[in-house]
Parts: sequence; C-alpha cells; structure tokens
Amino acid sequence: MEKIYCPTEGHPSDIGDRYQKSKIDREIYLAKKIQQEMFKGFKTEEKYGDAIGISIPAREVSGDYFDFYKMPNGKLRIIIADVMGKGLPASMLMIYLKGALKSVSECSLPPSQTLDKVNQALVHDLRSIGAFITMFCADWDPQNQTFDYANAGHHFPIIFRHRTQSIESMEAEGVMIGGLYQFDYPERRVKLSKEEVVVFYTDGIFEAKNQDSKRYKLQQIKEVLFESYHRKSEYIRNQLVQSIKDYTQTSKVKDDITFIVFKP
Amino acid sequence: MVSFIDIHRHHTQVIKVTGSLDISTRDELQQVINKLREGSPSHVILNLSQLDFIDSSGVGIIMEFIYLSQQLDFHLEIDGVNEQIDQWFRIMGVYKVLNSIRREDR
Repeated sequence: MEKIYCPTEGHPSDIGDRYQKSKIDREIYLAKKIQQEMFKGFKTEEKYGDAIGISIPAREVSGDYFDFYKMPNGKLRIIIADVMGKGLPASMLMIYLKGALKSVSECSLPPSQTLDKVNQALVHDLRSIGAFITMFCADWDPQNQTFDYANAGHHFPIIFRHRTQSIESMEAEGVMIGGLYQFDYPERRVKLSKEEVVVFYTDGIFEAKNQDSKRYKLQQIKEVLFESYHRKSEYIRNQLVQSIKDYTQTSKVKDDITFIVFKP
Repeated sequence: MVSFIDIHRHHTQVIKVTGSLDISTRDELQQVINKLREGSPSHVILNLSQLDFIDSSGVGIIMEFIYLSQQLDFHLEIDGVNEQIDQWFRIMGVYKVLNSIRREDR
C-alpha cells in the first residue's frame, strides 16, 4: 500500500512527534486539573478563624503546597511548603509530600514531631534525587488563641500586630526536609489577638521583577497589610496577588507563588 | 555561571559563582564536579561574592557541593555570601547541613 505524504500535516516522523507531544500535553493538562482540585475550596470553619490560601503556578503545575487540616485535638493545622525546582518534577514531589503529611497529621503530633516524621519518611528518596522541600507547620489553637509552630527551612511568615501597628516574623530555625537524616526541630509559640493577620508565603514572590528589573520585596506585603489588615482574609489575599501583578505589570509569574492569609 | 578561577597549592581549589545560580547552571556544575573528581582536592572554597540571585534549584546546587564534600572527603568553605543570600541560607539550614557533615567527618 502506497504511503501518501501530505505536506500540510508534516513528514510522517513529525506526525509521530506531534502525536507524542499532544499526548504529553494532555497528561500535563490532567496533572494541572488534579492539582487545581487539590487547592480548590479550602475554606475553614469560622471557629478556627478566617483562613484562606492561593497558589499560582509559574508553569502548568506547581511545586508549591499549602493545606489546612482539622486536627483530632481541636486545632487547625496550617502547612505551607515549597519543593525545589518548578514544573512537573516539583509537582510530583508535592503530591508525595501531601501523602506523607496526611498520615502524620491524623496522629495529632505537634509541629516539631510532624516535621521530624515527614523528614524521616522522605529524606532517603529526596537525597537520592538531589532534591529538598522547605516547609512551615503551624497549629492554631482557637481556645488559647496561640500558634505552635516549627520550621523546616521555609521563609518566616509575617504577623501584622494591630496594637502596635507593626510587623514581626514567626522565626524558627530548622533544616529543609531532605537536608539531614536526623534533626530536632525546635517548636515556638506565638499569641495572636483579633485584627491581627498572619501571612505565609513561598519564595516565588522574590522572583517577581518590575520594569526596572528590581525584585518584589517583603515591604510590598507589609504595605498591603497596613492598608487592609481590618478586612477579611479573602480580601487581603486578593490584594497581595494584585500587588504582585501591579509590581510586575503582568499576570505571568516566573516562579510558583503561594500565599496563606490567617486572621484569628 | 560556575567556574574555576584558580588552583592553589596544597590541594585547594577555588570555585567562583557569578550572576544567578539556578536550573540553567546545572550543566556547568557537572563540569565542575567532574574536575573536582579528577583533582581530588583536600580543600574547596566556593566563592559566592559575585552571586546576585539564587533560587531553590540554585540552593540545590550548593547542597550537591556539600554532599560531594562528604563523598570526596574534602573540606568545603562557603565564602563571600552577600547579606540577603546569607539570610536565606540560614533560614533554609544550609550551614547546619554543612556543619553537620563536617562533624560527621571528624
């Protein structure tokens, strides 16, 4: 049987390549849909405070991760994490992290032990592929209005203090997940009151540049908080995203960006 | 960009990193790692004084150097880090990993 070469559809080997590419594109599209479902509809109950998050991928899928868990001990767990790299490889590790976290969070272990367990679960695999994850774990106690938290090498969340109209960091030293086989993560506590705001974020914000190639800075987040701390978390979150768009003059981001806004 | 700038006596090698350190620098890193394997130095200085920006993939490259120092048994020194990158390294625990590996090797 004669093979017909059709110039408009390309050489037969090109057609094979294109078929392969469209298959990969479709799989990436499905991966994107799965990830969107994972981030969709996170809205906590009122008794836990006013918490909301958003994750904006730089590519089709993201290596950033955030989650809220209602703990058996009555606390609300907030997790934010950033997998090294971008795109599909990072997003696969992100799913891996989610699985490890889910099983640990069901045990009501405190944040420091949670980080230790997650590290133990992932460190061998992460070291074998030369990857790591930064992660911040904070448990909100609605009774005592306190956060207990521990940090595995993630950027410190910032708190807007209403009484003093000032900003402080939720500092805690630690080592990235996958950095060491064994590390004792210290645990810290901070008390919050009404009209105070906590913003968790990933380092993708620092890859956002303006027209003069100057990078977005924490100062921009602080300005948003000074202007909108008295509003709902959803409004503050939207303002934070808008501040990045205004700064870069584009809706595309260079690195994955994630924000969580929490108000007691 | 990652490059060797100098090879001193006493088996010390200096690696200078300039500009940005990210995923695009991986190939250059592999060449440097190959040279390190060939040279079997006892002391490597990673000079970051002209590093302007580093992302998480770039930190991954620094971590590879740290693990390599254990594997090839050389003393790694990270030098000339600017204030902002130094703060990031502290937050992420890069120095803690480096110090821990040095202790293990003693």
